[in-house]
Amino acid sequence: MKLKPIVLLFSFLLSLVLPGASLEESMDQPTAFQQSYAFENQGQYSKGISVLLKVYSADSYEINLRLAWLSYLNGAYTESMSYYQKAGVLMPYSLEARLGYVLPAAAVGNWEQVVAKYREVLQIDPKHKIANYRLASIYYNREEYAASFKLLKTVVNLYPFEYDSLVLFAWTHLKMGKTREAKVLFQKVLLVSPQDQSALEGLALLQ
Amino acid sequence: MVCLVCSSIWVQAQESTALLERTSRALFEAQNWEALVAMQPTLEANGMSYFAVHYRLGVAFFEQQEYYRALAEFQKAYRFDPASEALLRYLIPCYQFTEQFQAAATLDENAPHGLGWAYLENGYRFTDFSDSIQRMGYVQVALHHTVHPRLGFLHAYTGLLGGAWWGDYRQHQYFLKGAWYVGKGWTVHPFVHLIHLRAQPFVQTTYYLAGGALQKHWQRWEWQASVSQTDLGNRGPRYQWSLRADYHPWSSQKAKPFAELRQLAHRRQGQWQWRTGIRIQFSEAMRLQLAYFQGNAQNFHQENGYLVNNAIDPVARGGQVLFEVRTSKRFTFFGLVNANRQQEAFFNTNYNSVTLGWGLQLQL
Repeated sequence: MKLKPIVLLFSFLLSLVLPGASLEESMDQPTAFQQSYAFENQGQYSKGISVLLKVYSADSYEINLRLAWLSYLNGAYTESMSYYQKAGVLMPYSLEARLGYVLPAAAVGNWEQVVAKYREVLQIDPKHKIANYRLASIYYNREEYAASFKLLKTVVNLYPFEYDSLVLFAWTHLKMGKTREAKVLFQKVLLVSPQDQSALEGLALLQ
Repeated sequence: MVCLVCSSIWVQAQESTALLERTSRALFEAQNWEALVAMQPTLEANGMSYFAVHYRLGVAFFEQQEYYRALAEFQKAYRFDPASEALLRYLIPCYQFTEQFQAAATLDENAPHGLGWAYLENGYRFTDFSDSIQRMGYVQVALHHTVHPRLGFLHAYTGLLGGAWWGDYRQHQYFLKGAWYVGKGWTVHPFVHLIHLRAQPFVQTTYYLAGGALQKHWQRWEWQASVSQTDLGNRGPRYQWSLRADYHPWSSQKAKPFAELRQLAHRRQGQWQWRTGIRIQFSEAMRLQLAYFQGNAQNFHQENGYLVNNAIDPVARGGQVLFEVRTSKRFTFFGLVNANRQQEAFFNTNYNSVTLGWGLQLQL
């Protein structure tokens, strides 16, 4: 019990040294979240992080997820990935934690981790549109057209009149040498987006 | 209260990594390699390990011609994105500049397969031992080729011709050495050496030498452990193992000291030999290797199928000078001087030998 005044004194002295630490009143979680949104809207991400850290609880999924997002916006990618990882552990089936993780991972070029996270999303939800499409895009850029084709087929069957997946599916067909199917798909793209440059370029190559 | 203090430290740490990320990116974009290289300890101390930071540091070291340090960073970046074309454009030359050619070839889709290089070497060996072969000429022809990015072979034929008072000495040798790059800096080298000796009227025999080596590139070190076995012309099986370490104190190829320890095992008798030296790179086109060895061991463990003549005579000590000059992308001329103090077992006589050689290597 005699240690308490020493701890208080030590904390007080530290608060004088460290500019971020002050003897503020305790804050509840809803207020901290509310303030963090306000700071985010003003672009003051580190202040948003600071208010959340005052109510930080390691086993709170919501706080870890929110800190991950604000850290990402703040450009602290290592910390962002760490918070998303913690959130994912707390909610093992969370898709948003995994889809969030890919943002800082992609920002720093950790594409193997991005691929792994999208794979995890597809294990939980095999028909997830974003994961299927983005993973297909990565494989397309890596010239792994067969892998891209398989994923895009799922998306295009679910969203047959959606521009992004349709045009990528058309180009994947072309790269795989399936020219007849590619031509039909590029023509469909022109129905979604008349005079679309990418589709016209693809059709020109097929002439 | 304590929580408040902790959160403050946490925010400051995060601010620090965000700032470091922005600074390293800005320095990279400004091509300020010196400042970026200077940041490396700080980035590491802050636990910043991801593709972009390792890639930027790798490029900075590369531009400073610090190829070993660049390679270490690029290898870390490779784990985060092995498909990055931008990364491979640096990683492949880094492997080449640090002489890890097969590691480079496994990553390079455009790496030429088939014939690699060939060389022709000619030379003479002189001794002051009148009861043995006092002068001998030799010629060696070698060809290196790859059958797969991970697998290459060296074939070498050596012919030796000498004369002594008791008759002619002729030896024909075929050496085959493989190099299989397993990955992560590991390479396996199996080898076999077939030797036909005709020293009439005393001996005419064919014998072999076979073995393998395991090589590992690790940071600035290059380790090699090997073992070989021979029947040395029906004189019973003999084994020799060796451990070699090469160290690169400078990131660029300025100088490379190396040390090697060998042991010969024969009928429970162990004889040790050690060898040390340095290879100095004067310029991209010119380099010199100096080596010294000592140990009274039979020197039958051969790396490139060079001479095994008189391998049964223990080498007490010796030295070697090897000089290479590259005159163009395809041609390299080299010369070597090898001087040994050896012992002839039958007469129990010590003698000196000097080998002078010269040759041409051709990139195919």
